[in-house]
Amino acid sequence: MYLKTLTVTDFAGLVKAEIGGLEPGLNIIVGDNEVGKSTLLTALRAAFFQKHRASGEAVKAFAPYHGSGRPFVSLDFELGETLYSLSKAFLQRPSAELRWSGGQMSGDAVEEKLAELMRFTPPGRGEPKLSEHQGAFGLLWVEQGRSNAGLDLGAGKDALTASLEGEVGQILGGERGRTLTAAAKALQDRFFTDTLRAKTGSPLKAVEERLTAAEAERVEKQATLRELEDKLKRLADRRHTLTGYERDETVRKAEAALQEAEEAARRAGEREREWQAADAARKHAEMVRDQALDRLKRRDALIAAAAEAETRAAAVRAGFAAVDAEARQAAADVVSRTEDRERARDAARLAERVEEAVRAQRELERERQALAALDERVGRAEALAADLRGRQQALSAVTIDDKALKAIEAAEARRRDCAVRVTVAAPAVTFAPADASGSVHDAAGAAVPAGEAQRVTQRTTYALGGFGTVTIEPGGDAAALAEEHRAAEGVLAALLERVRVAGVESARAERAKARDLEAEIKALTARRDALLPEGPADAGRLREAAAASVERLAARLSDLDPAAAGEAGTDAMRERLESTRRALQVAEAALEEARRASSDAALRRATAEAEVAHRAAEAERLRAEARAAEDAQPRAALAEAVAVAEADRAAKAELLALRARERDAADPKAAAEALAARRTGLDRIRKTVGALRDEILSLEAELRHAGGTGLGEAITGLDDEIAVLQARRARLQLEADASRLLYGELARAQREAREHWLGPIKSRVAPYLKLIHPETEVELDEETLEIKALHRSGVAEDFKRLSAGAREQVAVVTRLALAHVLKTGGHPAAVILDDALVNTDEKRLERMHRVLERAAGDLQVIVLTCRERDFRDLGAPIFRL
Amino acid sequence: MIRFLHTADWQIGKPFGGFEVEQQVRLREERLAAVGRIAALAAERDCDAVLVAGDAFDDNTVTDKEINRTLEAMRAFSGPWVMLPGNHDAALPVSVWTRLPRLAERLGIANVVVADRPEPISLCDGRFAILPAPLTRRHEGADLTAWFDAAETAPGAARVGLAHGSVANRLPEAAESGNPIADDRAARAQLDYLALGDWHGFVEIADRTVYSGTPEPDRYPANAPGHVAIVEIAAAGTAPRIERVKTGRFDWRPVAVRLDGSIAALEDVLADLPRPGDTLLKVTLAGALSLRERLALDELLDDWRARLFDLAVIDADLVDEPDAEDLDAIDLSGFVRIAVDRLRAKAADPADPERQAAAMALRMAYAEHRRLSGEGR
Repeated sequence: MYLKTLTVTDFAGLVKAEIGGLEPGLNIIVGDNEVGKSTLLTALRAAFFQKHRASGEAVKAFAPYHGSGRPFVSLDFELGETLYSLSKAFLQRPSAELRWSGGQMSGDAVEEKLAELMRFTPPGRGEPKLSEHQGAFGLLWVEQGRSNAGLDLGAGKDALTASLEGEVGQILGGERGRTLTAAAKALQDRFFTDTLRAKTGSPLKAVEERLTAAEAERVEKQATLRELEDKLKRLADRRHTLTGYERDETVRKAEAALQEAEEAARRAGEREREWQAADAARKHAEMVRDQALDRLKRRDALIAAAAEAETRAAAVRAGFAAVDAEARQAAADVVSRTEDRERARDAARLAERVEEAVRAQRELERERQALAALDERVGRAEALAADLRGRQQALSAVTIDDKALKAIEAAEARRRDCAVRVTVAAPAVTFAPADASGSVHDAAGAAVPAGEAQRVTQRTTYALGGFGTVTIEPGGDAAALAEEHRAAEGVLAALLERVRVAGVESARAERAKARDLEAEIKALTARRDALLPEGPADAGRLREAAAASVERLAARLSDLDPAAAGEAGTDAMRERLESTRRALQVAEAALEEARRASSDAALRRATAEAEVAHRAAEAERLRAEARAAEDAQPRAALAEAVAVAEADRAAKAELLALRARERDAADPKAAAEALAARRTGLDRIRKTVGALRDEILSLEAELRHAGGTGLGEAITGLDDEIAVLQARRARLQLEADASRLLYGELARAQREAREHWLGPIKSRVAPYLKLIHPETEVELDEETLEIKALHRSGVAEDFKRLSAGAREQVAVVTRLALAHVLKTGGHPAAVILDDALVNTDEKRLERMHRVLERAAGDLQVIVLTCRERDFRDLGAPIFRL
Repeated sequence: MIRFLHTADWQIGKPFGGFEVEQQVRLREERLAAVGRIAALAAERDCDAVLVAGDAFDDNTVTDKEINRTLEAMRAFSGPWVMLPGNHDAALPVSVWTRLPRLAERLGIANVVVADRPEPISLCDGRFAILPAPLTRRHEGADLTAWFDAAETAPGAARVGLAHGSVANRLPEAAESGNPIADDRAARAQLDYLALGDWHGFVEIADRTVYSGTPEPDRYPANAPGHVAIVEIAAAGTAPRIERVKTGRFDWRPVAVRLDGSIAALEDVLADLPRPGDTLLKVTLAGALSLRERLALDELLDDWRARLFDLAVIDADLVDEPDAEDLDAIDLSGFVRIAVDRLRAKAADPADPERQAAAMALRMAYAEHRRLSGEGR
């Protein structure tokens, strides 16, 4: 494709732009910012890919900025050696016209023709999406700012794929290969997950599950059947065994044997009983003999005992006489000792009376002295008391006490004080007559001395000789103070009156007299109290008691022997008292000893006396007993009975020996054992037969119950079903394997094919890439064909992580390569780059120039740029906007 | 003259577990219907008795309902039914035969004679003596008919043996697994006829010794199943007149067809089927087909599967031989062709464990290709 001219008027920001004479190779269109380079590219796209009648937002954006106008684009291009002229107007009077050497058309037909020529899908209804329908031109016509974002393949992929297929043959199998692969995948998906695991719910799984279930059911049913068959077998076996028992009459035979054993046992039992009877008879005879022997022995013992008792009685009688004599002696001793003690007691009593009389005499004297002392003390005390009473009467005549005195003294002090104050307050009048004839008299007529100050405390009138009278009236307080003075004097007079004394001094003298009296009373009282500390009342009582004591002692003394009291001296008297007392004690001890000896001897005598009586009685009793026994049955008869009993016992023992021999011969133990064995045997046989019958009945019942369950049928049915399921499983397994194999092989072949698939692109990119990034290789995604990475010396660098400059360079060279592929595939291809290398450094920009030059060798390349300087040395035609 | 009907191997209650449920029901019903047809035939021919030579029931645990329905089906013939326990319904201590008399009594049926003891049964006022050899176990090692030789019967009575097992030296080896019967028993025991059961096809296996076979086929072997025998004995010691009468309905038909490059041979066989709706066809296929023909075969079989009572296909020996045309149809070039070529190589390699899967995969690829291109069904 070769774009020759382009004219744009009233299109968005462009009023008019006209570019003519574009060359088939490299072209540079220069324009400063905002002059509308990018609008030029938009207009170019609009001309080819937008329907002229469209009215969506994208088309509305074509409206001129300066006001109403008709966006218009016209251009000439060469495609497949045919020159076309295309013009389109939008929004107002939209129109489309296409002319070429062979014809022309206008209106909607133009759009279809363009779609056919440019190999794109015309947009459908609604808002067109250029990226989806402009075919490969999204890839080739690069808008400003998108050069480093990758390839913007979009719908261009299909065109590219188609072109690649045209070049590398039908490696990918085309549409048929893709659909067949998808179909094979669907087949595989019936059975497997994406990771090739068996899929839940796959037909194979379903059959396997049914098969497992059927097999499990069969196992269960077979087990039940085996159980049933075992029971059947057991039933046949039990029936067979029971028949054997019945045929052999086993039970009847065992019963007969038991009967026989019972008879033998009965016989043995009789022998046993006979032996037991003989044994009992022997034992009885032995007992009878033993009794006779015993009686004989007892008689002999009685006789011996009687003789012995006689001997013992005689011996006891002999011992009693000595004991009796001892007892009498002891009694006599007691009498003599009693007399000794009576004498000693009399002597002691006498000595005691003497001693007591002496003591009473002394006591009497002491009491008399005490009585006299007491009488004297009481007499003195009474004299003191009389004196005391005199003083007390004198004291009671005094009326003034300390309190009254104090009040009088206070009143006196007050009166004095008032008098002083009156004197001070009252005016002092001093009369000084000029000559001695001058006389002054007071109201009372008394002469008032001259030169002497008179205190006037009240209205006072003086009569002055030769003059008349002068009345002086004291003012202010003088009158009140005078009144106060009079009151104080009144108080004092009243107090003195109450105690009946003349004045203060007399009061004080009265009071001193009273105090002296009080001191004397106190001293007298102390003296009386010292004489009678116990008080006068108690002292009286003491005196009476002492008098009574004297009287009593005197009476006592007269009772005793008053003469004795005066006898010997005190010491001799006391010595006699002591010795008589000691003699009394000795006599009492001797008496006590004699009494004890007598008591012992009396006891011994009584004991001996009882023994004598007892022995005599015993001897008598035994003698009588022996005599009675002998009278009843003489000893000779007893001896005879013993002999007879012994003979009987011997006979019985012999019979017992005979019976024992007979019993041993019958062997009852063996007979009993045989009987027990027969019984057990019969029992066992009966039990066995019973158990067999029970088991047969029970098995028959169980089998009858289980008979109609259709078990056998069910198992056969399951056998058949399992066989069918197994076959089906095998078939499905084969299908599953086949589906996996088919898809696997298809996928593998496709993968291998893809390795060749990107060959043409790589081979075209390589020389360009060598210029700007030597020793690198670009890696494209097999599916999307987008740039994945740049391999530098074998190390993959993610495209997205490359620098902006590197990204735009790699993307531009890849686009150029893809444009070549497209062109080779018969697609219209021309490359337009709008400021696509803005991030490229100067050194690489120069190399990019060489890339562009080389690419422009067989492609039209139009570069839109704002930097003319960057491209002016290329030698390409430059168009300015 | 004595006339009786000889049948065996009714196998009532056989489950047919390998079939779909609906087919199972119909196959089971048909066995009861066959008993009804036998009863009607015996009545129509005025038979003196019906002899059932074992395996009337498929199993001893058959349900009471099934026994009752059988007894009901037998009502049409009011003469004696002499029924012999076979290996499937052996006279075990407790068996179908310990239940049947009670059930018959409840239904008011009194003409069933269970021949569960080896002793002569006398019918027709002593003119007809039946010597049964009942099985009391599933498998007997000894010949249970031996006692026939010495069995006493009334003078002039027709002696007819009734047994279930394999006649020695006469049947294919597989059938002789147990319950042997001497092939000269009829002669040795001076039998006028030996009525046998166990072999499902009708065959006079030895002199006066006949297997009636099952009256309603129940499996594929083509040995003339689906018949009963009507036997007439003019007098004791004379040769019996044996008539084979068809009673079966379903046609269990095994066919083996070799297909080499074309399915025409099978089309012919199918076209010749007289009653497809009552036919259970087992086709064993062998040979080699291109993928085109293989797909055509699948279509043909699907077509017939809908027409037949049942169709079983055994195609283990039928191999796919994809030819250039097949493969070119899938794709001439591109990765698909590479994959297809690889699969073909795998399928053709006898040592490859995935050989079969590869062949199937090729067939799938072909079928999918046809489907996707709209050339298929």
